[in-house]
Amino acid sequence: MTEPIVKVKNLSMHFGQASGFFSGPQRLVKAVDNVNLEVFEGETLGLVGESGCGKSTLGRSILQLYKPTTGTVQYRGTDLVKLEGKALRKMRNRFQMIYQDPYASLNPRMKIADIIGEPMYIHQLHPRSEIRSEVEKILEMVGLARDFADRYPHEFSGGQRQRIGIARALAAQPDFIVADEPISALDVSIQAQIINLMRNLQQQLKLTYLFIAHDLAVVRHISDRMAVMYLGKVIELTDSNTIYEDPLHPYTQSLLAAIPIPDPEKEREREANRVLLEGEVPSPENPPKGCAFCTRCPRRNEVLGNKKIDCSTKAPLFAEAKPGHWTACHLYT
Amino acid sequence: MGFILFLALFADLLSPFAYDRVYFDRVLLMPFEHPEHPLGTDEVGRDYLSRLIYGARTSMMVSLSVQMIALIIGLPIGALAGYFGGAFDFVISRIIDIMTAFPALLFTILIISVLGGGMPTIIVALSITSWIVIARITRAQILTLREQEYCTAARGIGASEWRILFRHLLPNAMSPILIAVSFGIPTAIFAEAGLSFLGLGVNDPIASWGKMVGASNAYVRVYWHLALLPTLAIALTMLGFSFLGDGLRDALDPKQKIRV
Amino acid sequence: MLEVEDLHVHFPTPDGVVQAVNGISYSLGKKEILAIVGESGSGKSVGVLSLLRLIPARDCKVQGSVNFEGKNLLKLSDPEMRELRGNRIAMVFQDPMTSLNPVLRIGDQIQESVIEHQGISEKIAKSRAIELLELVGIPEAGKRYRHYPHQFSGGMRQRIMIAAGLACEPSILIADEPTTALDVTIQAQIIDLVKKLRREIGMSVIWITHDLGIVAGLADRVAVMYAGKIVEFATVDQLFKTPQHPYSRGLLNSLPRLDARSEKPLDAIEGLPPNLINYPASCPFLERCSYQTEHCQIPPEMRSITTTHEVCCHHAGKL
Repeated sequence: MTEPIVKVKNLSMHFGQASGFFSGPQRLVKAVDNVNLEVFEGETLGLVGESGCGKSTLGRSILQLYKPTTGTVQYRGTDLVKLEGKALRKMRNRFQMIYQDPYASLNPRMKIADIIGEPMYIHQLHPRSEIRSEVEKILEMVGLARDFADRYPHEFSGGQRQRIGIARALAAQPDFIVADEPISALDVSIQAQIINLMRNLQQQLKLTYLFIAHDLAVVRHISDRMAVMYLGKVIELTDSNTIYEDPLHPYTQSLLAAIPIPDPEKEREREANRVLLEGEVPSPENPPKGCAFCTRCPRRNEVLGNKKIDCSTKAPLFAEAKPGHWTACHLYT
Repeated sequence: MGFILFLALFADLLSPFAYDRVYFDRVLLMPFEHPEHPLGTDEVGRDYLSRLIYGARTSMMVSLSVQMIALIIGLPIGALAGYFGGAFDFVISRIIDIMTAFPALLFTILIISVLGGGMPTIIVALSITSWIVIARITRAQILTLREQEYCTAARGIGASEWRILFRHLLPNAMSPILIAVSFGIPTAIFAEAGLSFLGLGVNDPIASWGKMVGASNAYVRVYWHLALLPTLAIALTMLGFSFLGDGLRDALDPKQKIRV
Repeated sequence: MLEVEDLHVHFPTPDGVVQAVNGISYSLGKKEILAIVGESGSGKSVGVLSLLRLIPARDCKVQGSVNFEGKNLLKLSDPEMRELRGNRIAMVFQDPMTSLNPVLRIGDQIQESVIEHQGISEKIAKSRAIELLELVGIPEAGKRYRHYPHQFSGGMRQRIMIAAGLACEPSILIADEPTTALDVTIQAQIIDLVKKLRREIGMSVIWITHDLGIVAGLADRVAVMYAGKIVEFATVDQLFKTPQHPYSRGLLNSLPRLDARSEKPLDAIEGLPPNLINYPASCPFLERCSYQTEHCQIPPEMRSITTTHEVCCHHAGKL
């Protein structure tokens, strides 16, 4: 059993004040609520969920771009939450992030050479005189021409800028990368290019990925294991094939049923049997007591009848329902 | 403006006469009356053309110094307030609010009456009101820009807060700041002219367009050139710098591409 | 019902003429759902915006004809066009957050077009608005029609947009990426709604998207656009089973599938779409095409493979 490279325990990220100087009653948004997660060396862990589920926030909290409200994030044994200032900055090159928006995440007034060279410079990874040639090497690695180094971000397309973002992350020589919706802003025909690139780099450089996205087909393709989030909590976690073949949590089941498949025959089949999820995601400011999904869950009455548990008052525990398959649902406790 | 700047710089060489050369026998000549004085003379016999040329120097010296000082003081204060926030920002913002509420001209008059007249005093007085503007704009820019994702990315790669401020934020914040500086120049020119008009500005015998207009008060009914020429000079110079500011704003605007 | 012939839309800009749409032709039948698929820059949005003449005339030059109910929409006067918009042809846009007026109640916004076009009284308009809100699945419609847009979520707002579009019982509903900004579970609800509406009201729909999954589940026929041209036009089964154009094939092959995990890398289409300002004189897909021959230096024409399947490629039917 390999040791996890990253171990997240009881991580919560709350925004807003419980009752501050100027604010009235509780306006707390529990963007991430008591998450426990492990990422093993060399794997790709996919993190999926719809908007507002907290997946981006979780990714950023792990990397300490937001300081978590409670909990610990162990990177190779060091608790990152406890680190501050210079100590934290020194370690930052070992874990990096790839951002969603290729237009906003690059400084428009910096040359590509400087953008990619910056992590090398800050962490003194190479002698100054060699930085330029190292930058060019990385550009080649991500599929861009060497002389792009002298240009500015606005001269490039979305897909190329995303490659530059990847190059910048690689320049820091990390072993753990959190990719926050890295392809959502790109055209479909470019998405495949970037996915292939990321996979190649992972094999070449022995990287570990936390891949956050809302497109399950993409995440399934690239991930070894997948975690599904809903309203700040992880509600299912298992390997990618099992998630599709045997989804346990009712939300996961609804999510899979709702995703369109590019095959007209299959779609017609599914339509006949499809149970559409009703209603909307509750506001994260006012999450339901008990199970977060109870307001929309089609199997709530089943649980009430068979197990005499009221999902709206009792929150389920995140537990191992089958070997290697974790979920938070009363159906399986 | 290039012309005005040129005049200001080379006033000594261009001017046919020293600005304080007095010809008591040639008092109050109209333009083109005397072959040596194409624009006439003033009430003590000084050549008006020369005075106008030297006036350019005065205007430029005052306005440029004021804006430079405003930039040197205002930029760092605004940047630090915007970036680090907290108590420092609170204090600075209140200072900015108070100073903005104060009528600027009255404030400068107050300072001048305390410190006495003369060029250095004017520059100090005008700078005090000008740095506020720069600080306010800088702070606003920094506040907006610091939420940009490339700042988060810089933090992510381990950049220190100072590095983010100087290497990432300030270069991107510069354009509105520079535009404010370039619009501040005509403001300062006008302020100096106004103060000198009131007699609170530069001392005699230094030439200043505003002073020239003010001094012409008693004679203007007949000797209209005494008032008209400096006024024209002020107006044209201000217009020129305003156009410069406009052009600068258009040039520095991020290229807007048509999105369909 | 609607027939578009040789539509060209060009935008003169200081950098050159952007050739956004270059000669597209298609037809829309009654009760038919036509999907227009393409990526950004393919011209799909511009194409339909120009159907309704929603792009200011001073910004673009439009050529060709758009025939609807016996008239050429491109030749109508502005008042005549206004007659049609919202009335006979309705449009739903992508971003539900900004397409509703935040200071007007939603009931008023739905009533607006009905009162304008059909001149009925406010009372009748109000009951029609409530009816429509119920039809699109807004709970407590009787109460909520007095609410403002910000009191609704994105999915709800999109339903309200659809309700507003349906107010005058249009023959055609044009939807420009209406679910792109929405969650997948909400998207499924909206698609289900549109299908229901087609069954019950008999409306024709033009649905623009980049998501081939939606196309598979919703459309009857599909037009694939690339660089301002329609490169393939077929029934949905034909497109997914036997795609003929290299771009369509490339696109379908490059999609990661939810129902099948593969260890192999995705079959990505290398390269980038062409620059619409310096439009290539050859086939626009030439640079990225793995089937290219010398013949491809000449731009291809649309050819029919079957009565319902057309492809714009020299190798049509031979691949």
